[in-house]
Amino acid sequence: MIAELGIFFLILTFILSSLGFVIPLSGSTLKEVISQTKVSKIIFFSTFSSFLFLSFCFVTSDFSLNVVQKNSNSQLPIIYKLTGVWGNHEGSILLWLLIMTFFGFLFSLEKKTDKEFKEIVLCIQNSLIFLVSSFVLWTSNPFERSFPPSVDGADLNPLLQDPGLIIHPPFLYMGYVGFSIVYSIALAILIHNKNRKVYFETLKPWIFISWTFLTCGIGLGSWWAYYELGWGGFWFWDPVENASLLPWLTGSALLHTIIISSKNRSLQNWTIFLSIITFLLSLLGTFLVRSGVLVSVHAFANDPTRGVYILFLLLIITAVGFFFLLKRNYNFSDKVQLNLMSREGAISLNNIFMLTLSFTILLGTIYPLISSVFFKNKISIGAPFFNSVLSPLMLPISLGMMFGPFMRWQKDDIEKLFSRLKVLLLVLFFFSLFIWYLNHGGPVLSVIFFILSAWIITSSVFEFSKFISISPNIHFKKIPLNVFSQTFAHIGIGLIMIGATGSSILKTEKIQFQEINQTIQVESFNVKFLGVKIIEKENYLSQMAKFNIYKNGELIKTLLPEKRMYNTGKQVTTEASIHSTLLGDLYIAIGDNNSINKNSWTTRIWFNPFTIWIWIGVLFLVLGGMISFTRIIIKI
Amino acid sequence: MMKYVFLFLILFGAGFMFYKGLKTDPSVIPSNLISKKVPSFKLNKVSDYPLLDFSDLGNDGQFKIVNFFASWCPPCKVEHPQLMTLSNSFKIFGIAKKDDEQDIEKWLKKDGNPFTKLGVDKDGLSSIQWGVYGLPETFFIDKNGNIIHKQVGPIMKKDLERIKNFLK
Repeated sequence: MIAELGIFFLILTFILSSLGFVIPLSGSTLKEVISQTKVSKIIFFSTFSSFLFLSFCFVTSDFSLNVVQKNSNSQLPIIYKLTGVWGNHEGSILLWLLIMTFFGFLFSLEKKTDKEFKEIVLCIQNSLIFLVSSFVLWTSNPFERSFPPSVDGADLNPLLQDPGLIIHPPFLYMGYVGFSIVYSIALAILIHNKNRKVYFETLKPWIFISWTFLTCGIGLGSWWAYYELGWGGFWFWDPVENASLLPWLTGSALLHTIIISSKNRSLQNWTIFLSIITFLLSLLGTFLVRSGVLVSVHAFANDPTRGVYILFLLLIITAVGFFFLLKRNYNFSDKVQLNLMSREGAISLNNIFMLTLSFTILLGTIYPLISSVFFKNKISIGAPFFNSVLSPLMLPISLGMMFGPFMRWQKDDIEKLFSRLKVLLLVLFFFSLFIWYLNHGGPVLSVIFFILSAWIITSSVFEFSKFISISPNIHFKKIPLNVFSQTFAHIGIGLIMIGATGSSILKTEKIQFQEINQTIQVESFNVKFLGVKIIEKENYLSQMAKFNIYKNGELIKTLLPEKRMYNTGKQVTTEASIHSTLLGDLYIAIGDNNSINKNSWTTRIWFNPFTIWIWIGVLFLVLGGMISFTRIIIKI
Repeated sequence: MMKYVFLFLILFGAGFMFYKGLKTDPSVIPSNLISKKVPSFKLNKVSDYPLLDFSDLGNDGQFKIVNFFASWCPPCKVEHPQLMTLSNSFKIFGIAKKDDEQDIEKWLKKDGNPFTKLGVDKDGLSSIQWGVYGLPETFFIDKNGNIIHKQVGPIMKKDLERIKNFLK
């Protein structure tokens, strides 16, 4: 009965959301009676109810539902029964739909814009909801029953039985789907065809909020892979990871251009273009993950009909977006001449580099597909390609990030700029020498990247202190919030660069058979292996190894990496154990018992320098995004 | 008008590509070496076992199997009994990737040695020349010294019949 209620509300969402395009296309007078604002509110609550009913089925272990039977189990702890709702294709697409209606609902509460514009935005958003809800109903219905009903479920994928799963997907979806409202607003600007500054101001907070969530989602995913899944790294250039990076890059470009276009009417076209493609790239990401066209670690159950359907949605949404962009762009053309030596100029230039980077990553990600379809030639493109294209492009991007914030709006002079930055340049020079001195034996690339990150961080701090020194008596509370957010975000990028450089270029790895009581030296640590014991838990059996870590002869930590055998699926997972410090992570994973010598085991020990700075950097980015967002909310 | 035609063409091309892509299996990546002679390589000796050399893989009129493995690789252990079976009918040559001689010796002494000759690829350079990206990987070589098939991942019991058939 509960499941039937769930599907009832899902169908209600589907029917009501169709009003988004039925009413404007029919040109009927219904427009006066049924406002999209009301529709948005109703479909949010109906989708929410549907989601609650599905959660209820999971929590009460209703194994008559296909999706519950396949992705849950009566032995599962209650929290994983609940997170199992989105630990599968059907449930996660329902979550996606829920968030989409949630953003429509939030926008319906918006008070700043005129009613007519708001109605257009919600018409588009509801039409998008219609497309996605049809996808859920036709190809991914979570309320489908299995007959005969099973006694017990098959279990949730052990990799997903982890606190990381509780938060990573919802955050990522908030980011991905948040850009749907950005798309709707951008398209509404084109359709409405009235060039008003206020519309671009309306667009702004939605970009910041989606970008912040996306940053958080990607950061959490990376953190999860590193700490929980025991993959030994934080980024693998897997197609699905790239798919999340693409909208993040264009979104980052967008949150810079929106500042200009909402200020002085230049770069409007560009802003609309970025708003549209950012959402399209989010959709492309979903397509790549769910259809199985590329090899990926994020293997969802692949179903070609689903792939065809998402492809169909992707093409419609792209076609509509670009059609209006081509039709109306003259009205939003960039009439204001941009001066390259100005803040706007620096931002535009950086935009070009960021877009080049996105396009290169996109090409690298889908090139195996292009090659296999058009040239009948199977190839795979991996980390070496992406690392080698990323490195040269990071140089101009970093320089832009350093000097851009010091440039004046509209027009600046290069000589004046340099004279303003004399002190900074001198500091940077000595900093570079110092870093070079510390690393001069190391790989050249690591030295370059450490210097670049130091430049970014120093110049951000410098800019901040300069702001205070211009007006020394300024009260801390009176410093504009955008200075904070920019400084935080830029420092965040610098910190991520330090962490990424350390843990990719400078990492050391040791794989060996290690005997009980044998000590192995990794960097400055002595790692002593004390043996393995078997531990029984609620839903798995664990082989837990014990390692004592010594530094300078002193015991500093005991690490307990595990291998878990899950009862139901007979699946084995590795749980790494990590000793994190500011200078680097000692990372241990345990392998198999040696079949000749029972006293020895395969052990893998890594030292990943500076990894923790990646997560601190992500925190800075998120903080920066949140400050921007609150600033706009306060303004409104 | 032209711009809309252009938009349509791009969308059509992209749509076509993704649609076709849905029908292929991306996990099948054939080796570039298929129907070519074996690439050159240089290995180190493992204790008293005869050392595998480039000249062993020439056209001597016999089918041969080259197996990339390592003592630290769990799937290689899964594969080991099948290699022992195959070694009754074919010459199998072993290349241990980034491995320790003592560990290899310990392993082969315990579980048996299926290899006619073997060697260790200390720095992984030979593995790169063969395009080996994961372990175990197995190459099948015909009577003329050409590579005819590559298997990625362990050889399981169910694979044995298939292998025996196409090496006939």
